[in-house]
Order: sequence, then C-alpha cells, then structure tokens
Amino acid sequence: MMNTPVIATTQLTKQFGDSIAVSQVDLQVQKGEIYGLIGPNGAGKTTLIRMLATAEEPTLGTVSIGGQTLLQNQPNPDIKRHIGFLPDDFPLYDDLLVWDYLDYFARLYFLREPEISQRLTEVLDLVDLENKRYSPISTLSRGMKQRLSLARTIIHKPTLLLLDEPVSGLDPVARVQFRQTLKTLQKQGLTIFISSHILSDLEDFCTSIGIMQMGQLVESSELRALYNRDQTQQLIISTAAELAPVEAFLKDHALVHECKVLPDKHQVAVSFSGTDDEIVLLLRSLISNDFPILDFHRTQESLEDIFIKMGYRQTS
Amino acid sequence: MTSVLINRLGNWNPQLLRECRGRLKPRSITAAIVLSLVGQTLLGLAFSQQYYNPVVERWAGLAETITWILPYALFTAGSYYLVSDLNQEEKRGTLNFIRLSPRPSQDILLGKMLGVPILPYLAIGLAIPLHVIAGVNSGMPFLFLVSYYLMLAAGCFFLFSLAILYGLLSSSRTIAVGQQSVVAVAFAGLTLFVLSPLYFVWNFAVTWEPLGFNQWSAQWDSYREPQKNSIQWFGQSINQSAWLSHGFTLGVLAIATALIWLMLIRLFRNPNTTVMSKWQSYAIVAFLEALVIGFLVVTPDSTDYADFTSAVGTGLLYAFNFGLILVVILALCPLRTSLLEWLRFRQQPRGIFRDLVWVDKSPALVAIAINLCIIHALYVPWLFLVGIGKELPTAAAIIVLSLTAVLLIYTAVVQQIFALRIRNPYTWAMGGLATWMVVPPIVLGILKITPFEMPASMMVWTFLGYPFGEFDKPLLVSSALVGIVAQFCVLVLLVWQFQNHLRALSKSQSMATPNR
Repeated sequence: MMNTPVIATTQLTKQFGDSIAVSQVDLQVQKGEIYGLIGPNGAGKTTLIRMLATAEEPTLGTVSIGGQTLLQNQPNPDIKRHIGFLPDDFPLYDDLLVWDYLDYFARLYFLREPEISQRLTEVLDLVDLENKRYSPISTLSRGMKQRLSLARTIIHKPTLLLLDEPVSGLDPVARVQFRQTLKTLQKQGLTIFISSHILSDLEDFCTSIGIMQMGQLVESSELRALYNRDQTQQLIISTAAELAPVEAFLKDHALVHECKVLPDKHQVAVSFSGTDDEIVLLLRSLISNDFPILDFHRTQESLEDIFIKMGYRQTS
Repeated sequence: MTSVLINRLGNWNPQLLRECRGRLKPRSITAAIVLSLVGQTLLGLAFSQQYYNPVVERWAGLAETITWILPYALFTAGSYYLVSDLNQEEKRGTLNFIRLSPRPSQDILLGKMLGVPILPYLAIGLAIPLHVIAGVNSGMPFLFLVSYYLMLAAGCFFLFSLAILYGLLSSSRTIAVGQQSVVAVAFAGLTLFVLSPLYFVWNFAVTWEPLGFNQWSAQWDSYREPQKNSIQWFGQSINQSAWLSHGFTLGVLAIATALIWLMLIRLFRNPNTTVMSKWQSYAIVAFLEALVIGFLVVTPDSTDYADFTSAVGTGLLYAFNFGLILVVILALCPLRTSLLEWLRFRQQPRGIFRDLVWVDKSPALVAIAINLCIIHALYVPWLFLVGIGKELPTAAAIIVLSLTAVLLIYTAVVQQIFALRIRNPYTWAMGGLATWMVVPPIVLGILKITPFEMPASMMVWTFLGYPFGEFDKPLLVSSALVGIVAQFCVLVLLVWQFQNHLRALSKSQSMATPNR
C-alpha cells in the first residue's frame, strides 16, 4: 500500500500580476525524504516553498500537507502545526533574549510547560546555542542567528521542514554545521524540503531532487535515479606520450560521444555511454594499441553538470 | 509565584507575554514611572496654589484636569505605539512568522493591543489613584467615575482597533514615498486633534449627561449650554437616562469595533486582499447609514430639531454618504493582481452576477451600486420624512440620481486605475479623485459660475456631484437634468471602456497560461 505523501501538489500555479511565478507544478514528497529544489534565480523556488508553507495562496491548484488539503482564505491551523518554515531571510526580534524568543514561538504553537523548557533545551543543544540561551539576540553573529532561526523553525516538532536557501550567506564552517544538523533532523524522521543555489551542498545529503526552470518543475526524481538516467559517464585518461593520437583513437570509438583534450592537465576527458564491461574493453584496447596509459578513471557527473545540461535543454 | 503568573499569561496570550518581555525593561519601566509621577507632582503643585480656594475647589480642578488629560494621553500614545509597531514588524518581515503560526489572528492582535502600549498603560495607570482621590474629595459623582473608566476602556478598545487597522493598511499599501516614518505620527495627530475631542464631545453630550457630571463641573456646564436639548435617535431621547445613554454608546462602539475586527482578521491573514469583503461593506454601510440617519429623524414634538434636521441634515447626509462611499470604493476595488486572478477563476462555471456581488477579487462596480441602494433605502424615506420628498420631489430626485451617478463614475475611474500596470495605484486614485472633486468647484467659484449667478451652470455642478440650488426655477431643474444625463452617459462610456480593458486582460491571461 502506498504511503500518503507528506507534500502533494496538483497543478499548483501562482501568478503575480502579469507574470506566472509557478506554473502547474505536480509534486510528491514522501515521508523522511530530503528533497532538494534547485533552479536559477527567478525560477519560482521561493514562491513554491512559500505556497507550501501557507505564506502565499495559490492562484490555481491544490496543496496537501500530510494528506490534509490547504483551504483558501482559511487559517488552516492543523496544517500549520505540521510545518516548520525557514525563509531565505530570517528577521528576528533584537529586543528579546534567545530563550524568550523560542519560548514565544513555542507558545504560539500551543506548547505548554514543562514541555516548553524541555523542548527549548533540546533545540538549543541541537543548534549548538545552549551557552547563548540568556544572550540578547542583537549580540549574536549571523551564523548564530541563522541557527536560532532553525531552532525556531523546529521548536514545535514539525513533521515537514521547508528551508529556502538556508545556507546562503553562511561561511563554509557554518554550512558544514548546518548540514550536520539537517542530517540529525532527518534521522529523527523529519521530511525536509530545501532549496539552494549551492548545488554541491544538496548533492551531499539530498535523497531527491527537483529542478525548476521558468516556473515549471522540469525534473523531479530520486537523486540516484537522476545520476543513472543519463548513461553517459565521464572517463579521464592521461598518457606519457602525445595526446593527439589517443584523441583520434577515442573519437573513432562507437561509444564515445565527446572527447576533449585538457592540455594543462595533460588529460583527455571522454563522454562514454557504455556499461562497466565496455569501459574495461576500452581500456584493454588502448593498452593493446600501445598507448602509454598513466591514468584511467571515471568520474561521476556532478549535480551542477546535470543541472546545466537540463537547463540547456530547457532553454533550447 | 511570578513564574506561574508569567506562564499563565503566556499560555493565554503568547503575543502579550512577548510584548511585555520586549518592552518592560528596567530602564523603560523607570522612565514611565518617573514621567507619570513628575506629571502628577506638577499638576498637584499647580492646583495647590493660593488662587484655588477653598480646598474642595483645588481637588475639583485637579480631578477635572486629569479627567481631560487621561484619554488624550492614552489614546494618542497608544495609537502611536500600535501603528509604529505594526509598521516596524511588517517592514522587518517578522509579522509573517506570526501569521504562519496556528494561533488565531484575534489572539495575536489582542496581544498586540494589550501589550504594545504597555508603557503608556503603566504611566497612565499610576495616575488613576490621584484622579479617584481628587474626584472623591471634590464631590465628583461616583457613578461618573465608574462610567468614566468604563468609557475609557471601551474607547481604547475601539480606537486601538482602528489604529491596528490603520497600521496594517499603511504597512501593506504604499500611499506616499517615505510614509513609514510619518504614518504613526499622522495617526497620533488625528487621534489628538480629532478623535479625542470627538470622544469628549460625545460623552459629555450623551453618555455622561444623565450622571450629573455636567452640573458638578461648572466649566463644562457653561460650554455645553447651546446643546442642552435632548439628543434623539429615531425619535428616542438617548441622553436622558443613564441606562439608555450608556447602552447606546456601548452598543454603537461594540458593533463598530466588531466590524473593524472582521476587517482586521481578514487583513492580518492576507495583507494583500481588499480592505473589506463585499458582504462586510454592505453591513458597514447599512450600520453607519442607520446610525447617522437616526439622529436626523424628526418627531412632531420637536419643532426646532425638525427644522434643523431638514435644512442642514440634507446637506450633511449628502456629504456623509458621499464620503462614506468614497472610502468604501477605495476599500473594495481590487488591484490588478486580484483582477487577473479573478479573470482566471471566472473561467470556471460560476455566475458572473454572483461573482460581482460577493467575490472579493471581482470588480467593485456592482457592489458599490448595491451599497448605494442600501443607502437610498434609508435616505429616500428620510427625504420624505423631513418633507423634502413631498415639497420638492424634483430636487430630491436630482440629489439621489446625481449622488448615485457620480459615485458610480468614481468607482469606474478608481477600478480602471487599479487595473492599470502602475506603481502606487492608491496614490493615483486618491490624488486623482481629490483633484477632480476640489479643483473644478474652486475654479468655477472664482469665475463666479455658480447656480445662483448663472442658472445654466447647474448642469456642470450637477455633473460634478454638487446638485444644490434653489430648485424653484425651471431653468435650474432642466439644467440639472442635463447634468444627470451627462453623468450617466459618462458612466456608460467608462463601464464600456473598463469592459474592454477586462477583455484585453482576459485575452492576455489566456495567452500567459502555459500549455497543459
């Protein structure tokens, strides 16, 4: 039996004036997934996330969170309890202490003592701010404020976490810390929907990926399936001799699509669409043709490469 | 003990606790207390001077002064704090997080109302004992004291609801450049110079009239001399019995506040929606029209009153209806984005008339026409009641038709402006209307082109929406009728133009829709 998806949208559309920001998005995200949403600026990622977070009403289409459909012009309190939303900017109340700020949001979500104190301690520990609990928010660094915002987002134990460009503006150390926190949250059973420009951040821990282009969701699948879908693999070959004869040999091979010389590295980069056995056969044929092979290895196409390829397809 | 109380307060209303925690800092509490005590001391010193003799008079002077100061200070400071806070929150973006919580909007807004002006509450609260002591020592009627604080609370609830509405509107709608810094001061100014004086005038004339305060306070008694007549509402005197005067005032405040809260909840949830829904506009217009017309209903036993209402009332009521519908037009006309969304939804099978009457994103022309019908349902019988309908039926018809046509023209113009792709549509609409309403009459007046000097000019005045004159001359009547015909011709043209605009938008909508 199929599980009810945590997020399900049908024909979800948002129009601002004359422009359509999100167009007819059909999306399903299963429980426990970390779903990464990528796309260039203006692709509609933020609008999509805001509609899922109930911050924006759709022009057309429906949104279901945990099997409950969002009703237009209604407060939808039951659905809001399940959602934690962290937008790309995270304004805070500088006049409050860290503890008071989280206490305020815990109460907004109907938490009661003694659960509040227990939960506040848990989340401050999770985001590594336990020693700042009585500090005024105005004294925190940007990274700390970002972690405090994440703490606020999860204070009410949501089942779905919506994060819009959460690592933008953070230094590399803070980004690594943030990724670790997200992995911990995933282990706790949260479903995480995250958008980012920094694709390398997503491919490290996302289980599924959606690609948005010009308001449309042009791709949505498991990350592994996305990598495997395009059978082309990249091979890197270097020799002790001239590269030109190797290049000429490779270009004649039936399974080689593209062959590019990287002179500064003294390497040839090859797009190859064969199986593992066929890669072995290619290596054997190079050696049998007396090419002095120094290095022969394959590389995984990065999410960035896939995204650029898909972007190219889309715009072309 | 304190933590238990804080916990209970937080469970009841987290927003109130948040505001208290953010504002009740030692330094600000000290400042509020010092300010209040210094103010009280200065007042005490002022009234302890020799020229206030005997002692009772000193107490009376002190009590009366505090009676005046408290509402002015509380209303003005509280309004300022609320408008300023909401503008800040909206500008910072923090209000969005609160909106996303499952707490009902009314909890949040009530917390704001009780918590944001917490320092003015504290400073003014500290002055209450002195007011009560001075009042009791000077023989101020006890019932007045009770009523005074009851009205202060009710007035606060109404006025601060209005301030929150204004705060939400001003933070989500751009009317003028750089408005963020001046909106709070502007509303505080309105409170100080208009709303607070109105509060006193009303309460002294109606609510507190039966309590004997006016006899106790010689100063006020001389001031109110010209208004000693009983004030009637639909023929019933409302300032002769304490029960009735309080019931009426509190009833009106309760209904008005409830209507404001309907708008507040709606706007808080969705700041980009129209200020009021169409059905809310019908309720508000009916309530306000009934409220105002009630004061202008004549009874056979009050001749002076009848003369006043028929002569002045016609003009007053016309101006009131004009202003009321203008506000409703601005509050009800949807902006371009909403219109475009409606055009898409409209493609689904649904009756167009039902949409125009009830759906918020649809054009407002039909809804304004319905609001005008509601007004006329009370206005026309009133014209007959005061005799104008019987004695001058043509004049009455001209007034009603001209008012209807000119307001529908304004609706069509505003709706057209809102449907354009322009920045700051509110500025354009309000500026355009204000110019159109004010400049032509001034120019005509300067050129001495008035119905009194040039009867044929009645046509222009009627067209502009000012159909007033001595309708005993046939030329004046025929000229006014030509003006009304011109109004309706312009209205038809504007509606036709707007329909074309909608068709063009609808076409662009279907082109903008991606292929399925």
